[in-house]
Amino acid sequence: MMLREDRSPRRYEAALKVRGAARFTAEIPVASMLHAALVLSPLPSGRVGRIDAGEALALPGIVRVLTHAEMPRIDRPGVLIPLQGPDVHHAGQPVALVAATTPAAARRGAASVEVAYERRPAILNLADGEPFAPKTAGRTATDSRRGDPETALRQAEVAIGRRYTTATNNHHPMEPQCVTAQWDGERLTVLTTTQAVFAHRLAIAECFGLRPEDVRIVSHYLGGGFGAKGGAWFPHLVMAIAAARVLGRPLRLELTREQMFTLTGRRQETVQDLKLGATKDGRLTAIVHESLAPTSMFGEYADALATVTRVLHACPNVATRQRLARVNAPQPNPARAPGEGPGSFALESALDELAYELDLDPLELRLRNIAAHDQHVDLPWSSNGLRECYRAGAASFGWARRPMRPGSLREGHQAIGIGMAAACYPAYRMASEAAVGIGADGRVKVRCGTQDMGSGTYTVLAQLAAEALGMSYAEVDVELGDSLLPEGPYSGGSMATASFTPAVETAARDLRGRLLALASADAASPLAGIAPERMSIADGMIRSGNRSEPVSELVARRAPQGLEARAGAAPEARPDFSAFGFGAVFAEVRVDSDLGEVRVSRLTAAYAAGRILNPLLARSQFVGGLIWGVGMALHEATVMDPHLGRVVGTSLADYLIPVHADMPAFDIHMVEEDEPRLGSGGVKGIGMLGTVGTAAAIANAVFHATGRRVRDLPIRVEHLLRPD
Amino acid sequence: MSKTHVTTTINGEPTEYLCEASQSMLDVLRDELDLTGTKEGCGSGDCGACSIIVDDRLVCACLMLGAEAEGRRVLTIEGMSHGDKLHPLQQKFIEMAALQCGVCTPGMLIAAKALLDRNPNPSETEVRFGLAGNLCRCTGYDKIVRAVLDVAAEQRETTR
Amino acid sequence: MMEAQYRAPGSVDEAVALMAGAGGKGRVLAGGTDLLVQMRAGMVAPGLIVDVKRIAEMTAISQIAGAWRVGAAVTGAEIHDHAGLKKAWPGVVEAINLIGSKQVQGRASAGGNLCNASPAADSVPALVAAGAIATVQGPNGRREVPVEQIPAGPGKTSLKPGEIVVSFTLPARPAGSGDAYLRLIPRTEMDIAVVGCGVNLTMKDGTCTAARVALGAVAPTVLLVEGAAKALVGSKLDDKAIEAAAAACRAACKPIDDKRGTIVYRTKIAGVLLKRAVAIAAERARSN
Repeated sequence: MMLREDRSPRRYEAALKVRGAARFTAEIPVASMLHAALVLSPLPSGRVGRIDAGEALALPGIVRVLTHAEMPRIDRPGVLIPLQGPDVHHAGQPVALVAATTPAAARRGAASVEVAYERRPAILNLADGEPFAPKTAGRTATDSRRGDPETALRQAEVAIGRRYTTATNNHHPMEPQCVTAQWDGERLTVLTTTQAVFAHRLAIAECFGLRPEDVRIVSHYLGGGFGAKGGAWFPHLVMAIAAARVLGRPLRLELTREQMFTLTGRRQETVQDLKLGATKDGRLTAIVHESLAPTSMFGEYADALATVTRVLHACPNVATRQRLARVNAPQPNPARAPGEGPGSFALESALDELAYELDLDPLELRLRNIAAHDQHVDLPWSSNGLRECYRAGAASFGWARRPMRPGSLREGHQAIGIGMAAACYPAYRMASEAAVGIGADGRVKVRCGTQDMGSGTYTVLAQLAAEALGMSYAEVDVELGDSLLPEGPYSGGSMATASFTPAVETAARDLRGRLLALASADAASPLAGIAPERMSIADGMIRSGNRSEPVSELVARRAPQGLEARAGAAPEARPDFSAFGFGAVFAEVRVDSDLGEVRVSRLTAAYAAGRILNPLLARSQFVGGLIWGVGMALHEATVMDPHLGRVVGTSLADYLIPVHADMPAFDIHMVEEDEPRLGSGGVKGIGMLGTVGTAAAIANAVFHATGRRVRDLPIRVEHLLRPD
Repeated sequence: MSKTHVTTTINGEPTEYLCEASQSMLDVLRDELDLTGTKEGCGSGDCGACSIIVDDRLVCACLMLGAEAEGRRVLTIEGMSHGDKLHPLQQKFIEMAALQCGVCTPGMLIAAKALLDRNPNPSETEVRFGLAGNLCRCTGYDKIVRAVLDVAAEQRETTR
Repeated sequence: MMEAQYRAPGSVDEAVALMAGAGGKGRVLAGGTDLLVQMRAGMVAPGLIVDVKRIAEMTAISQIAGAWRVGAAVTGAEIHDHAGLKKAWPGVVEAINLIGSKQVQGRASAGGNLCNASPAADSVPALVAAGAIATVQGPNGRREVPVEQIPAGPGKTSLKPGEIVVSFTLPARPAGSGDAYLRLIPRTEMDIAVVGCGVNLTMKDGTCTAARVALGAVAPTVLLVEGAAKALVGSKLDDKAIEAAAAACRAACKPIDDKRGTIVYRTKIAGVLLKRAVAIAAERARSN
């Protein structure tokens, strides 16, 4: 069933945003606030010596310069809260904080602080680190094994082994991270750019020995996050809160774009070895996926690089293994489709290479290996729409007309290529609460302490309540982004919507039941005496047969203070099924044969990701996911100087985010699925899926255009230069 | 500290302010005048979130000094709508969902207005290159480009 | 550190006097697309900012006896809208219009692009190929300098202390002339050139009678490649001549390896861009 976008409710907060009237964190005025600027270490490893703030303190507007000597100690293992000690673990680490009356004064002050360092040896490259096994990879086990892949590889009729690498990426949401911390005795209010008001409330309370209810976190509008405003931002958030306590005044810290290269996490680079074994007719018999990625000197983080490998294609013998090595670099953390993005580049590139070894159409190879159940956990799928995604995507794209031989398609000095890849992403959920209420004015209010990164959370919260209650979308108000609200989910891992949907729907249905019971029991109502199950609510009217009453009149009469229902929902402890969203991506590229320039000209993608609440906004999320794949494939790389350990080029002129004209024509298909077994109300999550497989589809298309197999991302013009 | 006194026109309103010589127009708008619709994405002219129109030219407010506004006419996102009456581009962005997080949106709209003011009949390529200075990390630009082309077509229709 | 002063003088004489009075602490503000970023990053802290955009001579485009004079602070957007200049020097106009985005074009000037002295500046190879002359004024008066003599290395110019680039003069040239500028960048827009190539040709009866070729981003300064010009002049722009010019370009390259491009790639691409730019310039020369 194809979904219609034109009937979707429009974005809830759009009218504010197009006027520039939505106030983001850095735009909320706070009385008598100071502004912070950071002094950063230029060295990747060392020890801070004497800090001379004399010149800075003499400048107008400077209030104080804080170093590790003045800051309170905070015990938080596994994360590097800055200004806790003299040790420097990566270039760009804050070593002092300047507080001033204006942001410009603070910046000038920071530029005037002189810091002496004792230089220490540093490990600057992944290859120089000592590999070790992390405790987990994302939310999954580090290693996995089924069958006997080594024997199966030895005995395979066809086998390949290839190495793939991906670059360090930075998230770069358009809004820089910001925090304004206000202390009032032992109570704390934090206005910040966070993807997790509740998780941050708890963690901050722990850091400062406060009761969680004495900490309030507010994040009403969030200018993108993509992973950079969760755990990655936390250490600097805590630093600013601690500094505000020392200063005894509200303090605002707003990161610069340059600092967003080093202080807000990064997608870790990867080196991945992929071995595939297959029969001559293209049945996979073995997969071995081994990877190495860097982590920081102080924290441990591994992307779940092998998730897709473990489940996407049917294969009896699979081993996956992930290792980390410590380097003197910023802490990596999840970035859109963490692990699944870079991991699928390796797997789906290798599948394409295998297809050419077998001389088999790459789509046909995948069709021959559709997994009938989740072999990794040995459970049935809740549903698996992959075959339908292949069919819908291929038909719309025109895959059947693709010649197998690379270099077959040309237009002038452009070589044209077509490639594809498959995608999947786990349907995660977490516990969530929500409240749905109605006032005497007939307006509905949904309250849920989650956040809207721009993905459309305000909109779907309003929609869910309106639909479950029988009220119109325009009559619903939403409150989110505040830890005073019922506890809502983290915005990440494509799990927010799946988590709050059942809570909102349950609360709204409960409220509906109470309204109907009220009408039934109310002698003054035209509906008095009618059984609630014989009533309906639509467009704000309660109806039964030819009798009706506006909901607002009933509430005004019987509950003038309003009514509210609250509900919670939590994931199944041990589900007897496995739930994933699936997709297929088809890419067309054009490569300038003399210059090596690659442009993606078309992207068709089909997704089967459970119940789609708002096709208009869902399409935006899928396209948004795809462009992260385009960026990963062709543009984005945070380059580290191999000798200095610093980021080379720290502006958006250096870190290349795709621009308008880099974008292909998008053709998105949503395959709706009936998912009665999912406790999420059928929602699977969609934000990550578009970034899975996309880089591989593009690299596979580049191979088809040029005959050059590029196994290192991003693909550079140098990779495609023809020899003279 | 000596400040520069500036007399200018912002969104049609005569406006006066004091600023430091090195203070950018972006900081003046956001910090001195509380016009926070103009966003700060980079401070180096690379993202376009702070796009404003000065004497009919599109510029980044972060690349202009506040002092330079003396005697100029400045248009920011706050001046694009009139009361409840949105500019057709704003209306179309809502209808077509051509925005997500909303940080690039004001700059994108101002840049799109500047583009259509000069070229009421742009090709898709002209829109894509004309708006290349406005980065968006959420949308993939697809709906933005289509919204701008749609508004251009509708405006041609109504002026015919 | 001193808080800066801002001045917007109305004449070049006044601007030069202000700069002289600032004793090395003065910075000229044209478009500000480099200066404001450097100030914000704390890389420079000028005591005096001299805004030259209120000086008529520096913000005007005029034609004198077939030559075009372009004020050094004229913005890219104004140049874009100038039909006469665009018809006469399409390559120069295209090159200036490639500096950054539309927003940057609303501010950026060829004078600023030249004085910022980036080896990858887009307008400079086109101006050098055009044979543009810069008018420079300083404490010791005015002088005329070929544009290629102004960059002295990355971030360095040959300007003397207190000197300001006032304008550029694009010389009159015979009928049958055309110019072009091409560059290669990683994205479709907004990037700093990996390689840039400016070509300016005069054709008479199918034969190339004059040529200038300049390359950007392949050496510490923009290169005027005389060997390439020699290969073209006297030829009918046949494959052999163009290949010889491309070879001269490759031979002239002294690039660096950096994240934007490798030595091998830049060198090879210089030849490819030369060929494509010659084709465009020749086509323009034929229709002029």
